[in-house]
Amino acid sequence: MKRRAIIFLLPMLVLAQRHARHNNWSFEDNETLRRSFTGRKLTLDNVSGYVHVTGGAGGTVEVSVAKHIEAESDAALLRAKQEVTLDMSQQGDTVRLYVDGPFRHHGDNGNHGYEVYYDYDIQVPSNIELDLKTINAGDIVVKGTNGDFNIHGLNGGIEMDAVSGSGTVHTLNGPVKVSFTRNPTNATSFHSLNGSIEVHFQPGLNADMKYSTLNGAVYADFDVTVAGDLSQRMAHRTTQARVGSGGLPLSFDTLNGSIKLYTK
Amino acid sequence: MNCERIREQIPEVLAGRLEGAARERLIEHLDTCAACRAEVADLGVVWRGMEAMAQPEPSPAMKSRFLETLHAYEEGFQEAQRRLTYTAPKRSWFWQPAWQVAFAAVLLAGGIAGGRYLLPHGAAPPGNPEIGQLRGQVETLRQMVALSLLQDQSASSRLRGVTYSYQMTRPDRDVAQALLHAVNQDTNVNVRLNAVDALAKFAGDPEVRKALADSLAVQDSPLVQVALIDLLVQLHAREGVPVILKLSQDKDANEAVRQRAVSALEKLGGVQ
Amino acid sequence: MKRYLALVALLLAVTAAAPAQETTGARVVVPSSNTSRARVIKVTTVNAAITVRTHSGTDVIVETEGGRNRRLPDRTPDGLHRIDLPRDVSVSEDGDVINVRGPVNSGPIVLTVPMNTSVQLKSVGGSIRVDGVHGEVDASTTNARIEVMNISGTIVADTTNGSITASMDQVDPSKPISFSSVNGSIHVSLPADLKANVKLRTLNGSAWSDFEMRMNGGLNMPRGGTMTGTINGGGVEASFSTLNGRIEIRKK
Repeated sequence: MKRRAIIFLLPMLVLAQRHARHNNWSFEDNETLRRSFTGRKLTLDNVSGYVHVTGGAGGTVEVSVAKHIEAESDAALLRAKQEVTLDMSQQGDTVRLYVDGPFRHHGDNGNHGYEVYYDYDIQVPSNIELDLKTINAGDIVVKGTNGDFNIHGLNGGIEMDAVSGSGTVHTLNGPVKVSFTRNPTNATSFHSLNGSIEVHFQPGLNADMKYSTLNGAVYADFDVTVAGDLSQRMAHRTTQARVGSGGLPLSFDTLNGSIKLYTK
Repeated sequence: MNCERIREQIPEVLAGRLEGAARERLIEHLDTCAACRAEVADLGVVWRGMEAMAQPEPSPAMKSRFLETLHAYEEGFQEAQRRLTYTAPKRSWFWQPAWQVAFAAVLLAGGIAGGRYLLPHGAAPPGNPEIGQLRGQVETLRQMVALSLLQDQSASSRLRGVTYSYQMTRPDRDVAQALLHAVNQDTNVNVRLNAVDALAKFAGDPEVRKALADSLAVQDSPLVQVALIDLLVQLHAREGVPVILKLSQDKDANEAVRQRAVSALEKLGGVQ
Repeated sequence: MKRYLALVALLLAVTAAAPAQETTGARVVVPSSNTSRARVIKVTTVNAAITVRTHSGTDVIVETEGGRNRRLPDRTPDGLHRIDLPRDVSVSEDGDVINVRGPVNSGPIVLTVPMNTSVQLKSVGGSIRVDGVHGEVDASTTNARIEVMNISGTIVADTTNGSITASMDQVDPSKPISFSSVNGSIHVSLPADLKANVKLRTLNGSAWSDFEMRMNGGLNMPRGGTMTGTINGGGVEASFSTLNGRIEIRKK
């Protein structure tokens, strides 16, 4: 029992430091899972761990997941392995990755004596449609995709690099940073409660924007027009404004951070 | 709301799937229950209190409320001032400025037409009553314009209304009323000041003198107080003595004003 | 009562190269709607200084800085400018009147307006500065100074404890001008050929002018400290009143 723990402790020091919230939990397990799918949509519902998705020329979805368990005892470790699972499946053209465990169920009191982390590194075809969620202990990074997206973090940041498409980017406590290779064509929203929002658009943006912040400010390198009732359009927290000739609905919302918008 | 029920819902709210009333209840509970907050912490979420999960509220709430109250006060104050700025004696639709001007125009046109009809060929002999009538109508028009200007939003226009008033040869009661209203209620001190000067024309009207004295009692601008005192002296308005006396003794009044009041009492006292 | 203007557009902030970079706050531009009537701008602040200057364009530009107490999480990033107003500043439009309500704290407000705009500026402790306006100027402060330069048109200015300095290039003969200050001085420069009916009122101060004023009532002061007279034969009504300050009227 303890021997196994020690063996795992040494090589896994880095991971342990990153994840360790329970310093007195010395029982660990690690494994790597790999699967390959073909699909046009990827749905990922994770609880703890990071999600890194990279789009490329390949036609398949290559999933590589590092699973890391910390537990207070051997028995807890065993329970972790039994109770928390990652379901990976394909339904039609949707690849579904779903972390299931007691915390998903009503009646769970949240205290299990273990933590299970899944860190995902996924290669996808660049036109994939993404629906990614994770709660803790990791950020979401998407690079090089051009399909529509719904990205939800809770405690981690969201970064999308060299992407296009439309959708939602939401997190509670982390920063949001997105750069587009082409401006979105459908309604897109960016929310972070306690973090800042930074979006890089391409020149020639035409949008009807709504932006809100309470304790931050909204900055841009372009001109914005507000039409209609000024007092309504420039209310105490929210401004509704138009860029260029308008059209594309964009919304930006943060409470405690600033919003920075670039087109150059 | 018991803790067990709350804990069931924690994963939901963390995943962003709890909405509305249930969400509110959960947030409220978490704010007050350390044990449940520990549960949330176990799931790796740092609990940042109401701000983190509640709908956005101004976080320095007190400061914000103070500013809002201040703005509301300023707004209410200004609204009250605006409302008090001369509202025409709206006895009827007739007193709408547009109607006044239209009526005056009709009168004027009528007068001119009537004059043309009645006048024999050639110039009218001096003293012709029609000319007098014409002059009267011009005067009425001037009065209409003055009254209309005195209601204007812009202080500059109201000042113009005051100037028109004292350029009138025979300003009537309505003009006096409007000027008195301006002295008492206009938000702009320059308008009030010049309205006091314009009222000098009404020396003969005892009601005006009385009103000027009453006005002094409620005036708080030192410049207007002095102007009123001086005017009362100029009009030999002994009606003003009680008010001026009171002002001369008012410790809150401007020193220069009090001195003016004292010297005014001497001058008025000397008039028998 | 607010009316919707069909084509009211509010243009927020301009390019990074704009001279407006001297304020790091927000910049709000209100383009003229399709009316030819001059706009009236009303600005009300408590302690914020108000500056009005003119440009040849038809837009009204409002630049503000939030109050100094407000600390933003980050400073203005390079190349960017704010496109939202600080929370304590509001801009609204009501027909041809633009209302700007300023912050309680002392962030200055700068308006750049078309020349034929009229302005109504009111503050408690913030100084007021106007340059180049051809419309009507109505400026009022309690404790701060008023400076009005290069204006043509008309002016009504009052302050309790501040001073008034004004220089008019032209005076609209149909509109009376009036200056009053309880404790401060009044310095006004007027065109040398101005025709005016002058009223000077100073109780404990003094009055001086290099105009040839033909005073009424000869050398006697007819009524207390008030003197009336004419310049160049008489014309526009011009009144100057102060209790304790000095009045100076100069030829331009």
